[in-house]
Amino acid sequence: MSLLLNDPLDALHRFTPTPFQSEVYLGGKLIQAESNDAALLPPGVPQSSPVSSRECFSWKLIRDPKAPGRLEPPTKVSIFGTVFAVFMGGACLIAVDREESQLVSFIGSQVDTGEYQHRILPILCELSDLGG
Amino acid sequence: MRNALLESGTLPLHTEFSIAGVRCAISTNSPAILAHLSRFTPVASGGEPGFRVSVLELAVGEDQSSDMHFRGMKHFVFALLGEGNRFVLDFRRRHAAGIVSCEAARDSKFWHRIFFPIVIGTLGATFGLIPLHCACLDSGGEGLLIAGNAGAGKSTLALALLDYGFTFASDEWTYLLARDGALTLHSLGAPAKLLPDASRSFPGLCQLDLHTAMNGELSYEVDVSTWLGVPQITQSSLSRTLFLRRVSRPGCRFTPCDEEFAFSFFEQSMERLPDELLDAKMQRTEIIRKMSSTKSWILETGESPEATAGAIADFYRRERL
Repeated sequence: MSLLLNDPLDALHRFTPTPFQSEVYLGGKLIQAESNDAALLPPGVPQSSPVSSRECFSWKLIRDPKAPGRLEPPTKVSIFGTVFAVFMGGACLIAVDREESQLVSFIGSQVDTGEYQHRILPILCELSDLGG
Repeated sequence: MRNALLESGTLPLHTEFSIAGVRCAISTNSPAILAHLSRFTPVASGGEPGFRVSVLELAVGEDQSSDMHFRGMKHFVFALLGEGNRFVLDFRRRHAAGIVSCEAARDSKFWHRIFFPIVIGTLGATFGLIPLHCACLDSGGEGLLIAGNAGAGKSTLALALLDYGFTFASDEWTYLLARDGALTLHSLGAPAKLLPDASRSFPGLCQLDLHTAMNGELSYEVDVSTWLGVPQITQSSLSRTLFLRRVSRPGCRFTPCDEEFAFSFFEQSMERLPDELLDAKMQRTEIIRKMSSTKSWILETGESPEATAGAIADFYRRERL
């Protein structure tokens, strides 16, 4: 199930609610993920003990039923070493701010679970500088 | 994965210029892109830019769609601007960065009609610039904003006012800049966009081709300088605002409107901004509050654009006395 509100003053879909949340360890970091689609939450070991903020990375993942088309081959744009964007057509947009430890992504409804896990999730991990 | 590296070494060309009264610093690898910037006012480097642009010209990769597509979250906005043109706008750093195809790099229209209007319209809230969906005319250095809902007839009325001594700045998007306590209105010099029914007022339009705008609307695009032989200015100072309403009742009626009406009209038409951009949101509200205190009227008209323009000119003369 995913949610996407239609608000004429939110043409960019900035305010899509993200009721699904999780905190998991992945690649040595704590990923605090939120999404409007439970299927997009990353797999990992559930967080159980306190961690420092330096080891946290925030992911906000939006399932976007209005995103056009299917996944295209990725183009990664590295912007002065602090911001990274990956474009896979309108079906998948990813941006990461490493200074702020934040990742945001829109993922089209035509992207199935297999494509998400095998083509997108590894990119999210790489952009978040997750080891192992 | 195809990699595009945007950094000092890959973007060796730089220039700074003023667009809509705001300093922009651009870095690129493309002499073709720099050549398109000659219509903007050059500025000496050294000052703090209002925003920065970093753009790498790159051959289009395989299987790239030609969609125009926009999304935003937190301090980022994604902008897909046709085949091979991919940008991310970073509100925190007031920075638009991305890649463009060789074709777009050489297309002046891409930069003047698509890229810069989108970038300043989107990032503007971070540097005191607000895009207003209004026509703008000037009379003796005093700017007149014509606001109204889509289809109210702002564009046709703006062109009809040229017969009454007004100078054209813009018919669709006007940029309000707050700087040093003053409010100035800016246009990017875009052509007027007239819907097909405007040919009733301007029969000569029928000789032009209809274009499909980004929003899918069919319209005539008119460069007022060449088509009407009149100048188009790019800056004025905010003096008056008219809120245009088309009604069935004949005649033109000007009703003074209070600050709250004007404030609500503009504030409610603005794109919502997230809490991550609280400073920009508060600055924008402050600017709208300030612009709402200028003289404004609701203009209800049941007349043709030509007759309405005449009524505005009469009203303007009386109001200035």
